[in-house]
Amino acid sequence: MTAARSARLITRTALTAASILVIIFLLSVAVPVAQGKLSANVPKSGGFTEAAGGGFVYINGTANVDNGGLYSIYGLSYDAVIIGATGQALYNYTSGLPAVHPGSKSSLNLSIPVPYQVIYALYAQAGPSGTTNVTISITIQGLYALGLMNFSIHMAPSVSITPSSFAAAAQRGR
Amino acid sequence: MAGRAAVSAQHPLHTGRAIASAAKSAVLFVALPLVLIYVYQLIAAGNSLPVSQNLSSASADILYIGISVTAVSVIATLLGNERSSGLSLRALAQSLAALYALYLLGRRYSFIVDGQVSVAFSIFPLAAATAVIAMLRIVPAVLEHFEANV
Repeated sequence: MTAARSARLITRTALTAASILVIIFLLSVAVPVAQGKLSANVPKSGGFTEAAGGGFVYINGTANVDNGGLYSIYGLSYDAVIIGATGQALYNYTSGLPAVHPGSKSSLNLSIPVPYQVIYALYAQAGPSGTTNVTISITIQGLYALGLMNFSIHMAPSVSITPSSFAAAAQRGR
Repeated sequence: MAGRAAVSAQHPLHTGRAIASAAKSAVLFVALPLVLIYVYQLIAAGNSLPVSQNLSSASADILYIGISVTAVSVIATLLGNERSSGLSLRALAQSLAALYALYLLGRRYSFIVDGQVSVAFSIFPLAAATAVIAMLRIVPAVLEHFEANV
């Protein structure tokens, strides 16, 4: 057997082994997804609460993630943009989230600390009822399957805010 | 004429195999992906499943690249494995198929889950690894060419 033939056989064997590994890996990703073992419930309109404290009004929501797959969901982060009733982006916030390991269910807390300056801006948009609707454009990004698959979930729920209800807390926070 | 006939007898064109290859490539690279997309969209529409926002443009890409891969694959089979040119072309066809997979799988596909939520994903790193493996298949072809001509 010549050296060239040996090299060719080794290369072919290595490539076949690599192809088989890729197919096994693809199946290990696709089968749990197809079986619905990976799921996420994200907060929608009405799924957020507001609370004041420490110079901010916190808009809180919870995303429930069930990772029945074989790989961790990690590198999670979320970007939130508060959009006022006029359609103007008032505030951006970015934060990380903990990883969801295989076989576990996690409740991820999406907490958006909105500075009082933004709440003051909402005063102007509030109607006679003192309530204004803001849209929270939230994008959750993450990695799956050893980082070989990246995904994002985008939602834009509407949240009703009564700026005056935070007036006392704002005065204290100044 | 006699010389050309002698060459043809030594390296016959593999017309039968080429037709089979054309059918196989057309099914694998054009028909199957399009049918899968069509069936999924039908199931999704009837079962409140997420419908992709950009599968129609992916279908156009499938037609364009799939037909290119099919053409190269057919020419490779027509020339035959015993010719180094045929073997190299076959490797080129596989590389094209790999790039095709890379392009399709590397796209970011987005789905509207309901009015408020959309999901997007990309498996570009996985597609890139798969494409590199497929493109490396040109190495045995080069080695065989080297072996045959030394």
